[in-house]
Amino acid sequence: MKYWNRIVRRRDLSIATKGLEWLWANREGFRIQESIDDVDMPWNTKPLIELMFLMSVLRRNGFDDPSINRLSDYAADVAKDFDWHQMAAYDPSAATALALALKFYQLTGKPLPFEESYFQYLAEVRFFEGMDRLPYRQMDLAHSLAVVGIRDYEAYLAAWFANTAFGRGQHPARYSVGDLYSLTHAVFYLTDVGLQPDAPCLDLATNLRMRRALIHQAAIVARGDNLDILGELLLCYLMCDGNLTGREGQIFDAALQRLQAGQCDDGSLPPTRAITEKAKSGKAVFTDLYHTTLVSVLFFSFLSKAKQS
Amino acid sequence: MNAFTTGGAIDRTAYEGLITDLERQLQNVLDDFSAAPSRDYLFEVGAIAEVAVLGQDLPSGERLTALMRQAAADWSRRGLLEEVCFSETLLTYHTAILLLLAGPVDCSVFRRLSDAAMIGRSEWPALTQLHISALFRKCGIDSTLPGSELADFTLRIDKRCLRARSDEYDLTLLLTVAHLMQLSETGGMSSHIPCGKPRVLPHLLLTQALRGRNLNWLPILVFLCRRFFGLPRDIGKAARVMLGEVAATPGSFDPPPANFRREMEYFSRSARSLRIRSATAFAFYLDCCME
Repeated sequence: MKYWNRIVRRRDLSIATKGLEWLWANREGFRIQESIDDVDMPWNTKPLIELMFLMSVLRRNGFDDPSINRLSDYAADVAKDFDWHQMAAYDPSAATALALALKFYQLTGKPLPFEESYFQYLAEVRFFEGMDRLPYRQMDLAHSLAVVGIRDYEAYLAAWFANTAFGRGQHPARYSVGDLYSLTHAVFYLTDVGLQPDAPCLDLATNLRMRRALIHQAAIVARGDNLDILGELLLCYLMCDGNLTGREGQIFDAALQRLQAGQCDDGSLPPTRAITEKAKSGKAVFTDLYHTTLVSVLFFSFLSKAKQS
Repeated sequence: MNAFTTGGAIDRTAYEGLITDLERQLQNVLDDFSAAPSRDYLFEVGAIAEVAVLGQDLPSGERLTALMRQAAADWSRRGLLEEVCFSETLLTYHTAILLLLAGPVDCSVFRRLSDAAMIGRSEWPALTQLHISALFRKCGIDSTLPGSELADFTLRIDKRCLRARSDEYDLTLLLTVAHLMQLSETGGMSSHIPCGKPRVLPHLLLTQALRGRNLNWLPILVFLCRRFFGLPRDIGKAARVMLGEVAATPGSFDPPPANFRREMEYFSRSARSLRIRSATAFAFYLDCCME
């Protein structure tokens, strides 16, 4: 059994490694693009911030690898030429991005590309509160700020969680894609990206219900055509130390096979069949592929760790 | 014809013409949705309804909401509102407003769907969520109200002033808050709705609308300030002067300039409904001036 686990672990790691290779080969896509048409936020920092988030989560969970380090160096290099102060002043929604970037730089030990005191000032004047966020986005903000030492909102995590679709008792069959992302993101914050599998601010019953919801939703999503959300659900199930045996284990394995089968030869993981077809014919673009590939790297890294323990 | 005479008084003929024009145009929007219910038409009706509910007790409001009530009640009888609400989460907000406007109608299907957690449990921005829950409760549908972190929404609203630009969601948020205030004061829901009256954002947006000559937002904001958030004398005077310069017809209230975002995740807004919405608010404002 141990020998078999080693083989399986090696395969999972190899999927993660191939994903990292694809991210490196397509690293230019993480550069910050300006969008003159988008009045909501004229700079698209999302891919870069998500890459930083991936790097931070891997580091915080003890993963250390040369391919992670070179991507980290690249992300830091791209970020240093961008005017983060301008973005911060433009919209309160920049708070999470800035906090994630700040954490990333703290972990890498590289010099910050913006004045931390300016960021602290915006938090002090409660600039970041100037928008009506979805409850899970409120959790996003609370967690991101807490990770960099601003703990004003952390106490509200459980209350905001109660206002999410999960917290309000949404019927399992009625979860929208948005509701599913709400659940997975909430788990990131509640478990501190897997470092606290039993969410400390929730009672035991809610923790158990959360795990059940994750695996049940994975069963539903595995029958559909969205590997992005499936990957996040399985990742979250690992982050909160879900049971990998019995009925839950069967669901997990079936969903896992969907993810494993989805990876392309170049290491990318297209989220849907349509994008897989596009990728096969060389027509898929970076934005089609990067997010699910990031998720797959994180998931298969966590999976190899789970099997190791 | 302009709504104000050169002496600054309200011209009754122009006022009457505005209401008649509005009734006709509103009826067209309602008929379009009745004939071919669709997402786009629902957003048109919804954009007007969210202003109309705020002036139901005003003379022009009574006439305009009578048309909406009749249509909404008919849609309710046909089971259309339940169908729309069940079909897509993002349509819940407008459905809930229409259900309220429909008056006392059979809500048993809504109640059963809500009790089974099939509707009303999705995730919306905090204040929208509170609004939908309050509307459902007002219609007798049990709905979970968001928790205590919304103890006062003043800060959250007023801090929006620090953003670098405004969009349709700013305006919708003020409409939501105004309606929550109304439900709290006159709808017997004071124990469910947090207190608070934002002032900075309403006044800032009104000033911005004046400076940018945004005639689409101006009548809505001047009505909201006059009725709900307080209207400083000088700003009110300036708004009245500017509104006195345009003809009292929905055609005068073109949508805001292109740099004002009006397509949001939660709704889209057609030019037709935005014009009618603003003209409706203008009629309400005139009513307030005549009170």
